[in-house]
Amino acid sequence: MKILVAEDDTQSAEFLRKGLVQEGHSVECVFDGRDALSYCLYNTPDMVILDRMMPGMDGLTVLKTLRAAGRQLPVLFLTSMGDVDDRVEGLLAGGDDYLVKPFHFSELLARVTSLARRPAGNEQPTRLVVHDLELDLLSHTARRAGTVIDLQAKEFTLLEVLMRNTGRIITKTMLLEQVWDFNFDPKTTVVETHMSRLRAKVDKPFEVPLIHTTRNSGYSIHAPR
Amino acid sequence: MRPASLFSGVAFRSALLFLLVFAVVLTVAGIAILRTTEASMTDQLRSSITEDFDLLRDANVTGGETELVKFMRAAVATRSDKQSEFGLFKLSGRKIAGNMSLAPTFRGWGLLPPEPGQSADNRFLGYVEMLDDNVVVAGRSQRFLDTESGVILNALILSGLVICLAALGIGYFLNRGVSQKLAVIDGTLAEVSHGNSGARLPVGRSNDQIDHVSRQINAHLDRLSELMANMRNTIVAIAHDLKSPMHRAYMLLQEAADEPEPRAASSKLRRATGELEALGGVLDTVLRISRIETSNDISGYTTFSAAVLVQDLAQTFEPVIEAAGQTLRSASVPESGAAIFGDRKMVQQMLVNLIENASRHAGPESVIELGVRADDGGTIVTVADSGPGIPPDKREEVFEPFRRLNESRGTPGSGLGLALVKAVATRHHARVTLGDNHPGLRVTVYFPPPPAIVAGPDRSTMDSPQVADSPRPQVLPEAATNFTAK
Repeated sequence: MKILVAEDDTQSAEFLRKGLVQEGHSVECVFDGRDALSYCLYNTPDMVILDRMMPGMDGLTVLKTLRAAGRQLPVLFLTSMGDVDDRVEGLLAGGDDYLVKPFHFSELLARVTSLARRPAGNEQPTRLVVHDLELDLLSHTARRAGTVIDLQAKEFTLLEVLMRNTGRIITKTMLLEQVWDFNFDPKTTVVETHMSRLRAKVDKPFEVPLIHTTRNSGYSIHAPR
Repeated sequence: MRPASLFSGVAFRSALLFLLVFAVVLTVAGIAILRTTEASMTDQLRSSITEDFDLLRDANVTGGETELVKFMRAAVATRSDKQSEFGLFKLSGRKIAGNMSLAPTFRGWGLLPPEPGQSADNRFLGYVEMLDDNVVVAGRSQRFLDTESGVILNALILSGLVICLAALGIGYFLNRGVSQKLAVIDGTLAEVSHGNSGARLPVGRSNDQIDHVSRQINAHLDRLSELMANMRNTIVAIAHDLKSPMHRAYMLLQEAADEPEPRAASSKLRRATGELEALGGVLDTVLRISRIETSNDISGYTTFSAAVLVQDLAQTFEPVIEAAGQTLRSASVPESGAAIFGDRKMVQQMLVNLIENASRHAGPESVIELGVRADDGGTIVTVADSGPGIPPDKREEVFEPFRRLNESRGTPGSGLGLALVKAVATRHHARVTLGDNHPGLRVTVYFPPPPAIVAGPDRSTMDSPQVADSPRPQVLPEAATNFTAK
């Protein structure tokens, strides 16, 4: 995937470039907002990782101009401005995701992967399937190998988020945002406890586990390989 | 007090202005009085002269020139005050009788020619007429008229001067009082700007406008001092709290650099990263609190059900609290009336902090209860635990940033959780009360009723009335007794 990294701090940009190249992406770095805009207008990157505060032109203006020019490529904001208002502002301007510095590289990678595979348009499946696990979003029921699994509301949403991203790592922060609508990290083990309960219902009674933990990164659900 | 500042004072300037206006009025009135008096006295003079001339005319009719000469001599002889002049001249100017030496050249009314040796200010008004072939003159001195005018003028000038001096004096004394007060205000504010944040303006008993303004300024200074003290405490606390993880990360990084074993080095680096993350978390929370405290933007506010939010949080935290060996209870039936007007995410984080705070400090096997109810149009959310609670005298302190009551016991926490609760409450004009749960701590948050007009494109109309109508934000420790000390 061709990714543009627009970040005025050269060290951070280099850190991102190295990491993303190691993951097999082709990366171009620019250090100025105007350069980021002209690059996107004259080239066709698959995704932009955009710093909010840059010389020349701030990230928000770059994004608004891009969207006004009809460019629908996914944009991930990367910034030290991490307040709820800043996030809302970034997402309203047309950003697809928002990551606050400092961050784990695995967090960035998970979000980049999630964004890259986001289906175009608003197609919303009503039924999700991973191996022998089925989630019916209309009747709000989960079945594994034909057995109905009784899930609490939060457990159901948790499983839904994992299954919508089958095969991809979803970080703890992403789960907090998408399942609980928390833009902050609670000091207690909310994600871990709910994940443990979910696993006890979805995986434990069955032979093959579907939910997997990737250390220091997050969780994913996929069929046995 | 410098005289310059005294004379430039508002009261003094008012006195000067009054003086100027008074002087103009006095001058105009004086001129009018003078003119009227002069006119009246001139009329009197003319009528006296006319009476004299009528007598001369009668004498002429009675005995002609001879009788006229006789009458004139008698008149001159009887009027020894030298206030009257009579003259009988031939047309050629030759004097026949009277006490005048020169014949006037005019006929009718006019000022008579001065006699030799007569002072210039003693002029005579006279009437001249031809009786037969003679020029007959009767006149009277105008001196009394000038004297009377002078007396009136002097009286006017004197009274004007007295009033002017009085006005100046009153202005000076009024101004001295105001100027003294203003000088004190000036000095006190200068003191404050030079760093003495404890300096306050004196408030007198007269309860005048200056006292009112002084009270307002003092209230502002109190608020500023409080904010500055909080800021100073926060900065010191931040510096202290950031140094510890920073130091640990520093040590770990040093150790990792010297570590020959790659796996051990990697583990140390991960721990260092964890420390730095914690540090970042503290900074984020401090910034968030600061943003909540300073922003007044309510564009993101909505009216939402408190019961639904609390139930949602109960579902989220029930397994977490159970895993910690505690029990979470919540009212199962949502009360439809309990609504909050505000930023849902902020209120959510506030309640999460309260729940986590309760779980952290209540200890194992304790019970944590969440409650929601509508109250007098507003909404009350309670988070109660059966732990050791907080002594009444410490309840105010726990809302200060980085304040940990049981620090020595090593309970984890940044000490920012309740500071954020306070910030969110203040922002929502909510009242947080810490009370006794017998045993344990009961935190009650009262949210005022949602405003009647919530929607509307004009932000200014949303901001002011709601803020103005809402009760003052405050954090009050409930007056509770029989409290189990922590």
